Order: sequence, then C-alpha cells, then structure tokens
Amino acid sequence: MTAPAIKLTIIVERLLKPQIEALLADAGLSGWSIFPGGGRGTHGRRRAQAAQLVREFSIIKFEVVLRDRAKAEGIAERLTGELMAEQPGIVWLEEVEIWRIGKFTT
Amino acid sequence: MGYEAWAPALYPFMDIPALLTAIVLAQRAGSNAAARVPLRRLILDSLRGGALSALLLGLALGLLTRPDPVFDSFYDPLFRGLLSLLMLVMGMEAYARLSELRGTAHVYAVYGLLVPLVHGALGFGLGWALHLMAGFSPGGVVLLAVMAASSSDVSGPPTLRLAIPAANSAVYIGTSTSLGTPVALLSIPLWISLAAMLLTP
Repeated sequence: MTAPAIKLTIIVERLLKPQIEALLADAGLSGWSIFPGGGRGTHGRRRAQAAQLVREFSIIKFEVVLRDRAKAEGIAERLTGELMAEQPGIVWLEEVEIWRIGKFTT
Repeated sequence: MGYEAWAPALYPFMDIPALLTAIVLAQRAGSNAAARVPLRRLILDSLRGGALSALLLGLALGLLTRPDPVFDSFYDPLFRGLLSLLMLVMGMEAYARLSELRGTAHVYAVYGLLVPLVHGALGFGLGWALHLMAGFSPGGVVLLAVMAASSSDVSGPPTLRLAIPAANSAVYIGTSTSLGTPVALLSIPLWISLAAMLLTP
C-alpha cells in the first residue's frame, strides 16, 4: 500500500556535501541518500568513474523523501538561496508514491 | 646532493599563506569577487582537508613514533610506489583539463608556463641567501626552489572554489594542473644544475 510523498533531489559538487548535510539536519531531517554521478555542464565535464586528483569537484546527488511539500519547498529555497547563490547546483521536487509511510515522519 | 630532512616539511607553511594571499587579493579586487568567508574558517578547512591533514599527521607520527626501524623496508618503497601512482593520476588529470583551457584567454596559458620559473627563481634566490647566511644545504635550496615553482593542485582548488566562487575554476585548475605542475617538474634539473654551478665548491 503506497502513500504520496515528495522527493527532493539535489545535484551538487562534493565540495558542498558538509554544508548541505548540515542544512538538512538543521531542517529536522534524519535521513537522506547520496549517490555519485557524472555529466557535463557549464563548469565542464564531470567524470563519474575516473581517477581524480581532487574528489571535491565530482558530482553527487542527494535524495530526500518528505511527506510535507511546504517543508520540501522551504529546504529547496534555503539551498538555492544560501548555498547555491554562488556555487553550481540543481534542485528539484518530484511527487512520488512510497511504501512504509510510517518510516517518514517529516 | 644532500638536503635537510626537514626541508620538505616547509610545504604546508607555504601552501596556506599562498591561498590566503589569493583570497585577500580577490577580496580587495571587489566586493563581488570573493565570498565573505572568515579567514579563520578557511584556514581550518584547509588544515582539515585531506592533503594538508595527512601531511601534518605524517609529521606528527614521524616525530612521536620514531619509524626508523621500518623506514627503509616499508615507508620508503611505499612512498615511491604511491608517488608514481599520483604522478600517473596527475598526468591523466592534466590531459583532461587541457581542453578546458582552450576556452579561456591565452594570457592564462602564458602565465601557467612562465610563472613557475619566476617563482622557482625567487625561491632559489631566497635559498641562496640562506645558504650564505646560515649554511642551508644546496639540496635544500633546490627543494625550496621546486616548492616555490610548484602549485597547489590538491588542497588549493577546493579552498579557492569556496572562497572565490566567482573565479573561473577551469582557468586556475587547468593552468595549474595542465601547465604549471609539468613546468615545475621539468624545472627540477634546472635548479639542480644551478645549485651545482653556484653553490657547490
């Protein structure tokens, strides 16, 4: 049996990982998932799997599932306003259907 | 050519002031050039970064644990092997970053090619003065010149990205990794020859 929820996705450079985790924790979230990634953008090509001198410029994707859309939008506003005002990054929200709704309290 | 055992340990004390200089210059260039990140936080973040923290912890381990009995059999071969892998990765990164430089002004490429030699010469000059005044070894002078010619490819770029977000990272990473570091490496025989010519009787 599924229930509606909101998935917040954040794509940033690994450089911002500590700041984003601090922001998510400050917003009251207890869990999130992080995935490595690659791609291409205005800041150049990001290689998903390659030996790199500096890991901080590799791409990571955060995924957080919330039940409260307003809260998700508030977090997105803080991310884009505080952390991504001068650093590259993408944020989006998706409507998803999840199982085990009891695990998601926020 | 012998050198003081502590000479390589000068590196972290050169790295942080160089980064701070860049940030202060960017802040003085204009209010939008650099993020208003407190310098204390930048220094702490730099010290907590992988490269510098490993170097400082290594220094502490060397002082406290006295690894002399296992240095020749374990640490020295491990260092040489890992250094060769690091050079391989740096070469791959340098080649990959070269394409990013094509979209930037040629003056940055000229800077990347010439400035390591200028800085190396300044380091050599300083080492020469120390040789005359305090008996600094010719090998130590060469190390100082090489370190002065080098750029920070591991700890520098993340610090600069946080502190000067408006700066085009393709310029400073591409210039440093693809041009500056190879020139600094290739200049090693130059400093060795100069030291042999000028500093050894």
